[in-house]
Amino acid sequence: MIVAERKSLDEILAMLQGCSRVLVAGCGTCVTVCMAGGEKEVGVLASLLRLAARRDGRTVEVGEATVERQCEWEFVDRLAPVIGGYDAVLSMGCGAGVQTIAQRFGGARVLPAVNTKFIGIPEKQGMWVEMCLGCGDCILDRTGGICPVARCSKSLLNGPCGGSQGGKCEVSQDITCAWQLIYDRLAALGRLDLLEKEFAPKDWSKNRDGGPRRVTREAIML
Amino acid sequence: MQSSRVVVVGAGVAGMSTARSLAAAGARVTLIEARERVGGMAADYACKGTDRCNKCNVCLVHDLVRDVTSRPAIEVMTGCRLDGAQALPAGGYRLRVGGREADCSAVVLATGFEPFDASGRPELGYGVHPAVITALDLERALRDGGALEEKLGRPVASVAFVQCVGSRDLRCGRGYCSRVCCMYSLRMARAVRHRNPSAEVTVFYMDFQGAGKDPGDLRRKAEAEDGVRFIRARPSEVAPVGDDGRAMVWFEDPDAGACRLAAFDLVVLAVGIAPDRDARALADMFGLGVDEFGFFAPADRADAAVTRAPGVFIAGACGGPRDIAESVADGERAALAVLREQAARRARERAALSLSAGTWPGRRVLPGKPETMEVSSTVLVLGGGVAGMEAARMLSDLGCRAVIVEEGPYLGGQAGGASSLLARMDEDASVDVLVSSRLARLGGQVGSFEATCEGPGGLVSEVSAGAVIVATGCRRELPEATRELASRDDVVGLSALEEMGLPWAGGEENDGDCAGGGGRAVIWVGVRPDTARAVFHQALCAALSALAAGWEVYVLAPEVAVPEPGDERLYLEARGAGAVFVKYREEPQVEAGAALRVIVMDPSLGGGAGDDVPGALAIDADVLVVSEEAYPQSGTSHLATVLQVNAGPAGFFQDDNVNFLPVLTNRRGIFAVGGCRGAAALSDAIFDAHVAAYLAARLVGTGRLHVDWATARVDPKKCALCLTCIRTCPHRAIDVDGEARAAKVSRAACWGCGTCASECPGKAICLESCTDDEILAQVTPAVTAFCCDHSALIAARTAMASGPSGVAAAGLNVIPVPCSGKVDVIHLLKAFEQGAAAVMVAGCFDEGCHFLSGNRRAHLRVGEVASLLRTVGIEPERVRFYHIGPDMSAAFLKAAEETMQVARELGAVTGRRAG
Repeated sequence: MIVAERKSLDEILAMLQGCSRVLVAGCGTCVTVCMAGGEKEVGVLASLLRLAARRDGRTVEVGEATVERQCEWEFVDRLAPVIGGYDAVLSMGCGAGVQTIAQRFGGARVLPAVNTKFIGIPEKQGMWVEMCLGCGDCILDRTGGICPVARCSKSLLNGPCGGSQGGKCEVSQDITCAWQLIYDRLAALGRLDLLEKEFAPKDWSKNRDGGPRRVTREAIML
Repeated sequence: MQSSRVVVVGAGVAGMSTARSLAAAGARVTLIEARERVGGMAADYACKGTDRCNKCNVCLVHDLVRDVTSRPAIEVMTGCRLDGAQALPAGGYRLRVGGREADCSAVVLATGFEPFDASGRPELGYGVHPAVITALDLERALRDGGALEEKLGRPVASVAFVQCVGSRDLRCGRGYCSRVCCMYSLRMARAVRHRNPSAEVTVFYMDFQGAGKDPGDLRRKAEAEDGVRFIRARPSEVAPVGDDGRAMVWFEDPDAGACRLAAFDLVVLAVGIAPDRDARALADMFGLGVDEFGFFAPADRADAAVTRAPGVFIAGACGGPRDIAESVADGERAALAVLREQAARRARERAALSLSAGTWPGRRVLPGKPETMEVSSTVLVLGGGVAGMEAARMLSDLGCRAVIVEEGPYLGGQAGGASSLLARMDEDASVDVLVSSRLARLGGQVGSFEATCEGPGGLVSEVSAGAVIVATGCRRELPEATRELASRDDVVGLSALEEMGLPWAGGEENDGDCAGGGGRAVIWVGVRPDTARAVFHQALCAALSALAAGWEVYVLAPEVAVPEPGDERLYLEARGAGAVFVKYREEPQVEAGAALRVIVMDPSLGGGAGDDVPGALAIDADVLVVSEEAYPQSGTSHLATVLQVNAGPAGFFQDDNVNFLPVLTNRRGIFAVGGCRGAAALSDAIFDAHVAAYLAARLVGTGRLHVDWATARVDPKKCALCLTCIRTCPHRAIDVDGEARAAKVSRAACWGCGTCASECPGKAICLESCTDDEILAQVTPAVTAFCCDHSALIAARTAMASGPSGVAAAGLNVIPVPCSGKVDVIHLLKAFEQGAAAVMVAGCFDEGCHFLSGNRRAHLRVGEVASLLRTVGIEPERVRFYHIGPDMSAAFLKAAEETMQVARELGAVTGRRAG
């Protein structure tokens, strides 16, 4: 899933300067699951905005609306009846959600309430870690199901580097060296032979090098 | 026609528990109480919670009071005495109660105890020196959580507890241990320190009698965190001193080996448990036996609730010393005994044992008709030792089918089991046995568990069961220090003693150099405090049999644990016969050459300052008997994962939480009995098994379960399947519903805390009886206190009823919640939005939450709201969390005052304040 994290209140309040009617828009998919922008977080943020206004002696009208997925036209359409009454839409969806709303409602000022961080998993309840960079050229078949592109601090394809000490990355003791994990896993699988063939330099053209990417399935296009 | 009503005499803990249990099983009950209120002695006790729950169990009393006074099946008569009883020809009794006559089918006596009258030990100065009080006086002073000095009218900078006042004392005819005093003193010592952090607390004691899941932990904390000093001495006199009114305690200092005087502001006499003064008259009324001390005696030690009078049962401390948790469990036992006797009377209608479809007491009850579910009345019993077999036997008696899953090739376990019990397992058509099998998977919930068992040769059996009883026992091994001696012929484990043949039985087996015909045995009982009481009886029996064979006996133990009935007598007998008991502080050393030599330091032999010869004792032993320590079975953590139940102290099953005693786990319908939940004597394990079988039968035995309590519900349309609720639920009551593609709460398994509803990021869960809308409708601009039903709400109501306190006048808005875990971040923020200037959340003490962890979550959320408020420039101290026990009305007032003071000082959250 896409993992996001709410921006600081200071940053959000600075964005909203001058807005007296704000719609906080949540998304019922990834950001609900990663607890950054579902209905509950919408309620919390809306409450905080009202309290901040009260503290400053301002009046503010804060609306709350959560749609199934902010990255779908049909779902975003459901905001249509209410959106016109607001000075700004504070989207708690990921970057795709913010842009979908902005694109759908040309006249609306749409602001991001969260920072979209990565594609990842909850390592445990309340902690999410990055697992995939979306590089466009998956090599997990050769690395024991552990991605060095996302999980090695340097995205090395022929690791580890000299900064791997005791299985930890020199960048932080909280990061386990991805290449250590790869080695251990391949050893357990009896496939250390996979490491004998070096990786060629990565073809980044499948990533951002070619500009914004697009996936097309003609068979299902109308 | 005979009345089916059961009369319970005495509305203390045991009586209330009996009544609640009988009512839950479908009986009609009259509960009569001589006082004007229900609750018994324990209703005067204080919650000893400090920074956390100290497991005093006093909160259970409040739950019981609520349950017995709110159930229509229980008629409560206070201010009434039982004046007479006449046995009816068809069974049952005609009772005279407060000038009225009533027929009943059975009588349960739960008349409790009296505290020992401390003036019976005049040398201790009770009633003479104002500085000397009893533990009961201190209980009352600690009640309501207020300042101790005010309550007692004196300083409490130094406090001494004197143990064994009226216990283990032949001079006043009390040759027994009162079983509860060591633990209550320990808890009170912690509570005193908590209220007065500079107080110095000393405990004068003989032997530490641990009870509960982890008494050693409590004692370590008292010593390490609170600086409580334990001095092994029995003070001979308490005298007043000087003008400061302090009391002088004379005692023999074990370190100095000399008599010393120490002055204390307060001397607390830990009075023991004595029989009720009316016990003898009641015994005569029904023709019951009493023991030598005056407690009601059961007809058979194996079934402590059954007396020799038909239709008359006993529960609680009227049958001998019990603590609160034991009295609650005793009530279940008595209820079971009543129901079994009634079933036996109607022997031909086996199924007619009058269990009604189960409900579960102690939760928020929903008005209206309960939802009835079809459930399986089969109970899966894991472990085929004595506890497992006893559970199966009882289940069969109660009309359930039992399936025993035993890992080994035979039933019997460590204790073997009586042949009659083994034969019963063989013959009983309601008991199925899978040997050489283990539970591989458990799906489903209470009422409809689906168990997958793997048997020999990969044979897989699927068992549908309504409930599960875990009776997998424990592993007994010599303690670490002696493990390498295990192969020696002259070293033997205590529990293996009889099996191996007593070394002192018969001269020819005895090849040691024995002086005067007998040898010399050392019996070393060095186990943890929670396991000591389970093995000490065996140690004393071993000592006596060796003494009888003409052997010299040394018993080495850090504490002599004699809380079990009759053990004090055995201890005195062994001492009288010449056994030497050494209460050591440092582990004995064993020199194991060709012969054995045990070296132990005996503090009573001196070794203090000025003593040239330390108190070392070198014992050349012919035999060393070592008590085995109990450890969890090796597969316990794996089984815990399969069952999704929690492990507690030392890795045994069951959380260390008073609400779960004796046999509950964090999942409804899964019970832990005997050694798997901590070391247990065989009799305790059997007791556990019976209680669990009874609870399981009450829950699912009729094939129907009435869910009348409030539960959480998931709106599948809003559920994002984020799994948060499933991970959060302390009771593992939520699963993924594949069809609906949403989380689904099992109503039967849900305890109704609402923690999941507050944690859900999609707001897809609501708790019946306490929905978000219902909570928000109660939010006003007033200072608000969210209060847990089980603790702070009771304290709040007492505080508000106690006259013109500041709280009610200032309009504190109290919002009840079933658990503080139901209080959500959003509720707190909404209160501020509504204009509240300060908000508090008050719940149970850590480790004492009725729902396991709701209060910890609430505490975390309060912390989160504080930091959220800070981010918008609002003072974080406006939101506060408090632990409040149910009796702590003064503590509640203080917390409320503090919160309202914050509100007054900071004013409303409105407009930017100057500066």
